[in-house]
Amino acid sequence: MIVLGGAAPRAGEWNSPRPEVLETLGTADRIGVTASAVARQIEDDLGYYALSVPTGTDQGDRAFMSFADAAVAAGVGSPSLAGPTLHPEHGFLYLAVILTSLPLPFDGPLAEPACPAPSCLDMYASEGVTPCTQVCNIDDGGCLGGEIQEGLVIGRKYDADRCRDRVYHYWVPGYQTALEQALSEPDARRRKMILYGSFFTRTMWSITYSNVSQGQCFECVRVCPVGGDRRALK
Amino acid sequence: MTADASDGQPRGEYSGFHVVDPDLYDRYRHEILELGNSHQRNINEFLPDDTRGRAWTDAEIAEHLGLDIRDVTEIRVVAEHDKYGIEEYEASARFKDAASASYRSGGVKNLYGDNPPPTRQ
Repeated sequence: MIVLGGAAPRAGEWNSPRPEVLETLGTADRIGVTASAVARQIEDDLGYYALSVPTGTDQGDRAFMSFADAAVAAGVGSPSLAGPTLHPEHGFLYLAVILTSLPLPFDGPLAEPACPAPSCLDMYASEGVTPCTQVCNIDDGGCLGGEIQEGLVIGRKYDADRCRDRVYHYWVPGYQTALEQALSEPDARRRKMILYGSFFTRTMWSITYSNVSQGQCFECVRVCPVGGDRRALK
Repeated sequence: MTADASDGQPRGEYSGFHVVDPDLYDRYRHEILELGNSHQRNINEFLPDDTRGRAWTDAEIAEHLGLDIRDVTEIRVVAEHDKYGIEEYEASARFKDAASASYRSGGVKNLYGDNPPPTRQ
């Protein structure tokens, strides 16, 4: 198994006060294309099987495999309180996985986890929250919660459905929800306002790839200090 | 009926169109969400077995509740998308506005302060 991590948003994108910037530019497409090229090279040049695992959904609305677990096993990063796998130096990265019969040495998981970062331990000690659990707290309408004991994340809580609705805000979940509203609306004039309105229009731009967007919520990792120096330029 | 993949592992969906009974959905939607991956608590693998709370598979839930696995899968998929209504999307937009603007103006140390975002007011 080969795990690629990269194609993170640029510093300018992280620092935009408009969430629509990251909503529009956040995509796994670039790392997926890279993985396809690597797989092709392994098969064409080396003669071994190589499968670039699809980044989309399998049956039952499940992923084909957990890229996060693969990244942890391969040492690309470690689990985080926020959720995404974090590389100690680069922080949040998009992931791609190649399954191959090519014999390779096994790197193994990281010796030291990237999360919680030292500054998060300090913040938790003084305020009882970390940056990610403060910005998106599960007890205050957000997705994340948890405690830290002896440097380890204990009792992590995560509302996967709310997170999914935020990450795919103007994407399939948003489209389904708005479409249900439209189909349930008996007043034809109100129905028209829904279907031609700004939410449905932006969602259509997204799901038709006319706007190119997949990941549409980054607030827990925007405030994450892991890799933060790469988001702070001149 | 149990659906089996080519590797013999049970799974809840054939390539087809299976519509779950709405009454069955209403009866089990919350319990299935609780047993699945929706409300994750202590899923970290380093935790001891008596503490770790991994999600159950659709096959495990089906066996526990005495349901057809295809119904469990469909109830789960519908319920995961049905949990939050259109209001959540409006709240989500305001949350992102406030969080990104706050970060731009001072980062996490300045997050919200005495001026919480609209979703918290």
